[in-house]
Formats: sequence, structure tokens, C-alpha cells
Amino acid sequence: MKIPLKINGVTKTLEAGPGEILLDVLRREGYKGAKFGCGQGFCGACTVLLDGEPVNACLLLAGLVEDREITTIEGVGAVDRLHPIQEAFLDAGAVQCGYCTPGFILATKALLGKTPEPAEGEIKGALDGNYCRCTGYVKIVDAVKLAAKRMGGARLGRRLEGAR
Amino acid sequence: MQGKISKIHYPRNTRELLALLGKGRGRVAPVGGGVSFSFSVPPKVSELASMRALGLDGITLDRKGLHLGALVTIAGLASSPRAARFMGGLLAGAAARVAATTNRNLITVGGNAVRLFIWSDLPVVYCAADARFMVRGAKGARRLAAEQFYKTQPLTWLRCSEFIEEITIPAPGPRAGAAYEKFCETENTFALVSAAACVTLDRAGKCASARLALGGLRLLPRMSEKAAETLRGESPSPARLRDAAAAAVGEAKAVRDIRVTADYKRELATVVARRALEKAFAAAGAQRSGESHA
Repeated sequence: MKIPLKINGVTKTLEAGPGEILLDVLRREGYKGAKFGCGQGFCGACTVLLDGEPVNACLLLAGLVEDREITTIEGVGAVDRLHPIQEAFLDAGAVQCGYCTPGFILATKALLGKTPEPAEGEIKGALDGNYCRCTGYVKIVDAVKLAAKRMGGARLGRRLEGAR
Repeated sequence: MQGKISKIHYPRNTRELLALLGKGRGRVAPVGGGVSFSFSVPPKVSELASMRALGLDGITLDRKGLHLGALVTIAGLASSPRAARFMGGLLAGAAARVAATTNRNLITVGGNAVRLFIWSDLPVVYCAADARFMVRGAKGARRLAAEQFYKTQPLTWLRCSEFIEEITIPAPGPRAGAAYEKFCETENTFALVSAAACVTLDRAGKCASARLALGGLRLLPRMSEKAAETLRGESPSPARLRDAAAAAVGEAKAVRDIRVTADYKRELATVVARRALEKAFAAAGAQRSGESHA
């Protein structure tokens, strides 16, 4: 079946079987930042944004995302120009093996899109669907705070620039 | 990959959905978020009909109560300002504790109500709050009370030509309080046991009504008649609440699951049920003292 949708802002038509899981289809199409972890919606390694909200791509039938918008990690920043959240994860030492990192970055992006200055409890709540088995969570929470601070600074800069 | 699924339909309205379900004779299943279908498909089902175009994703609040469209996501319910101000945020609070953010953004209240798990949160709340399920079929809609809905597994008695359209939680009367308590090993894992209580006080501060539902003991949520009897007409003293919780667990059957034994669950349930009752009566008491100061 053909599934029209947007991936990372680009309109596409995916070819998928009616029973195929979105994660498998995305990876086949080259979006390999979303990982297979538990396959049961626990670990968050497969996280993508569906219309801006983090979801488990391993629990979603591809045929049910018709006409919706998917954001994968490939749509966040670029290799030569990282997104501030990605920079913050590197600078805070919140990355070790990296398998879970795309999921954390996307969950953070959704959080900061709605809550630019989250409290620590809000950060932990927003990341409750993402597991890391290397670094622990302290540095990840630090990274989200750092990203929020930098992105808030950038927003303020843009506002001041606009006011001049 | 769910190899059993051979087709997904996209009906544009209720009429088209009902026609598909009727023609399918059990082969076509209505689907919202589709989460449960990603890991298990009921035996006869080989085609799905997406309910997304039906516009059942609204939450409304009126004199009759809180109305949840079947396609409201659990995250949508958890963050709804209307749900937050209804019954002290009972539904919104319980929804916020369902699984994790990434799951809550996908799972719909309709799907969650029908595809039961032993740890399911909201069905326990629906029972205590006397929720009504609007089930639509080719011959019209029928309304079922939550207790009736969960008498046996919904999937075993729902007709293959029917789907859940709306869940309504009736507005509580005066001097009412409600609470949902669950116990799980970590913050975002599934409930080992849970309890929901909805109570009302009379003008003298005695229990006018009490509805206590237990979850996690077995697949179906269980309403406790004995807890209601123990409390009705009595002052909600700590000893009385302890007795009511013990009576509720005493009459309930518990099954062990992969995590804990049945005995452990029963012991835990006694504590969780008491806490739910304490919180519900405290909320009702606060309303009552608000009344007497008004």
C-alpha cells in the first residue's frame, strides 16, 4: 500500500505492507537514526515525533500515519551544523554508546518546543519513555537544561535583534 | 510486522465505518492509535478500519459530566484543562500515570478501554466513577455502565459491527471526592495493584455513598459491594476506612502474575484501597467545609 506523509518536512509516499511497523519502514527507507530496542514500547530507542509528539515507532502500524508528519533524528540539525540540543548532549557528556541518543534528542525537542524553560521534574517526566543503559540520567538531564538555556539565549538574542 | 493484517481501510465517516464493520463480519476491526494491534491481532481480524477521520478526538465538559471521544489520546486526557478541573483531576491524574510519554501520545481512550491488561489504570477509574460507554452499531447507539462493560472482557461481548464512540463520566453531586492510587515498582512501570474511590458525604459528614474499584488483582477491574456497605451511613474514621479496604480485598479474587504472588497483591491492595478512600474522603470533606463556610 502507498502511504502519503511528510518526513522531516518533505512530502513522501512510502510503500509498506498493511501490517508493517513504522520503525521497519523508516529504517528500510534509510532513516536509521530510529533504532530497534525492545520492540514493545518500553525503551524509546525507536522514538520519532508524530505531528511533533514523541511516540514509539515500534508500536505504530505504518498504515496509520497516512497524511501525518514524522520527524526523525535525520531531520534535526545536520552533520556539519548540529542542533543546539545535539551540541548540548555532546558538551554535557550525555552520550556514550549513542544507541538511545536519537530518542532522547527528539523527546527533548518536543519538550522544549512546548516548555522552553522546563523544571527538572518536567524534564524527567518528558523523558520517562526513553531508557539509557550507559551514562545514567544525570548528564542527560544536565544536557536538556543546557539546551534550554542556550536555546532561550538564542531566542532572547533574536528578540533583541528584532527590537533594534 | 503483523502479517495477519492484509488491508487498512480509511472510512470518512461513521456510516462508512459501520458499513465496513458490518460487511467484515468480524474480519474488520475499528482502530484508533492501533498500539495493541502492533503486537497482537485478535484471531478473526485480518483488516483494520482507521477511525481517525471520525472526529472523535474531543473532550467536552457540561452539566452531565466529562465526555471523552474515543480517539482522545491518553496524553490528551492527561493534559486537558477540562479534565483537570473535573472531579479534582481524577481522570487527568490517572491518565498521566499510564505508562510513559511515548506510549501516552499514541494510545487512545477507546482502545485502552477495550484492550484490557491486568495493570490497566483507567478502567478502574471508570468503574469507580460510574462512567458510561456509548457503543455505536448499525442499529444505533447503546449506553453501558462501566460495571456492565467490564463484567467480562469487552472484546468477548462487543459485537464485531460495533465500536466505542464516547465515554462519559457523570458529574458528581455535592460533597463529593475522588482519588486514584496505584502501586508500581518504579514511577513509570505498570501498576501491581490500583484502587479508585468516588465518595459523597451527607450534610452531617457521614458517608452517603462510596464506590471503590480495585485493579491489578485480576484482568477485570472489580467493584466492591462490601466496601460500600461498610461505609454507607458511617463516619469515615481511619478504622472504618481500614475495615472497608480489608472488606473490599477480602471479597476479591487475586491472581499471581509474572511479578508478584497473589498474596502479596492482596496485602498491597488493602493499603492502596485505604489510601484511595482516605484521599477521596479528604477531598469530599474539603468540599463540605467549603459549603459550611459559604
